Amino acid sequence: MAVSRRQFMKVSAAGLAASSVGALGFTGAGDALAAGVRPFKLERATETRNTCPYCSVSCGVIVYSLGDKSKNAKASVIHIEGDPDHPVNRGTLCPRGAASLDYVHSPLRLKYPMHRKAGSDKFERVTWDFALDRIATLMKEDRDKNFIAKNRDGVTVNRWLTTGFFATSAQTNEAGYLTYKLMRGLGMLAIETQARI
Amino acid sequence: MVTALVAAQHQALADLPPGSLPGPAEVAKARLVQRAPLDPVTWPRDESWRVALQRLLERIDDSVLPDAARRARTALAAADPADLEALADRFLDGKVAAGEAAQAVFVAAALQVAWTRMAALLDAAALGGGEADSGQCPACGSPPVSGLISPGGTKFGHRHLHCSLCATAWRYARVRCVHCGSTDKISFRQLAGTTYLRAECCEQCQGYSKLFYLEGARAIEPFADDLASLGLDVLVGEEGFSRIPNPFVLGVMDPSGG
Repeated sequence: MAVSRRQFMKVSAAGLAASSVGALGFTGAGDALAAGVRPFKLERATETRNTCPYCSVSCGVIVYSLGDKSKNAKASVIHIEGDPDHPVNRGTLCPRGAASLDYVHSPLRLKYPMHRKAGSDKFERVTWDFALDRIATLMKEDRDKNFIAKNRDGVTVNRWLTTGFFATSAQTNEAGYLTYKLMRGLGMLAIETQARI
Repeated sequence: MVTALVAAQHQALADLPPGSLPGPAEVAKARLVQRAPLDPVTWPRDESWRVALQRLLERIDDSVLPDAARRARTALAAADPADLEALADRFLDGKVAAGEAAQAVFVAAALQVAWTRMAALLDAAALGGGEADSGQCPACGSPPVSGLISPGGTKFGHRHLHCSLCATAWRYARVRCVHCGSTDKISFRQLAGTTYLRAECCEQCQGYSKLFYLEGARAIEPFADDLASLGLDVLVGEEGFSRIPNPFVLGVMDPSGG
């Protein structure tokens, strides 16, 4: 069996016996090792790159979680810290970003679209379809009412000034472009896409 | 036995002749063609590693060696230079036969001493500084033995890979496969309840490499602790992942094919 110091190898108890460890006279070392490690369970963990959701600086973060999304392992986020390889923050985070683990696990975290009906004092969970239809309806109503096609001098301006649009800090350049095109297409001027770095 | 071997390595390193080093022009040229200046396959080896081997064999504490290791030591001490050179070639090319596995450990140890010596004398800035972004050693092109995650200070969280041959450390991005460079489908395996050691597994190339988190450990030596944690390798191997072997455990592992 010829093996390379650059070639992939799979470590196993049998392999250890037939190796330089065995060849040096440590016979049985492989089996002993395998037996010794048997009581330990191998745990799956994940480190995921992401962008801090808080502000427009868009710091890179590494999210540490136990378990991965496969099979019956239940993933849970255990730690969040700055991404040392990210050019924006080079591993650092502000206190808010450093505390974003609590934000993930907060009982107050918003997980679904919620709706407070006019006159009601509490929010109720609604479907995405309902939420999007409702937002579109209200936007259209407002735009029909307040759209300015021409200014005082009769110049075409096509402005819609009564509604603004706020997008996420974790947005990519491409998504920012689409946001801008879509909202400017409606005549909206108050657009904030946050992710400007 | 590894303790004795490493102690002998350390003694052998003291005032070892520096070996023939590549000059600035050769380093620059190697960088131009994206090859490591001390690549053991292309850089001509001089006799300094045999001096290191001689010293190793003389100074290692014989009493801790098992019989087989002692036999390998005697055989190496009696071998003539041509045979030793051939054996070193076979180790570096990765063609060590099963019968030579024990001797290869001593040869690897001696080559490490010589290459560590040479790499330490190279100008780090000429190698591309700290921005090397490769899974292979910027000094000698060898694969890393493991990675260390810095515990604090301005380098908090940086990963440094440590060379299996010349002990050079270089920075490499986190959550990125050391072998194929993929950042997709990277997952980690650790022994339940521990946090200082993880195997970074890549679904793309089915390879993994070890990461030591210094924040959660008292003292870690990338080479020795790789050997000390072979148990993790057994479990990760059972999940189907492979690695590039530690030079001291060459031939330890089944080739991934079978």
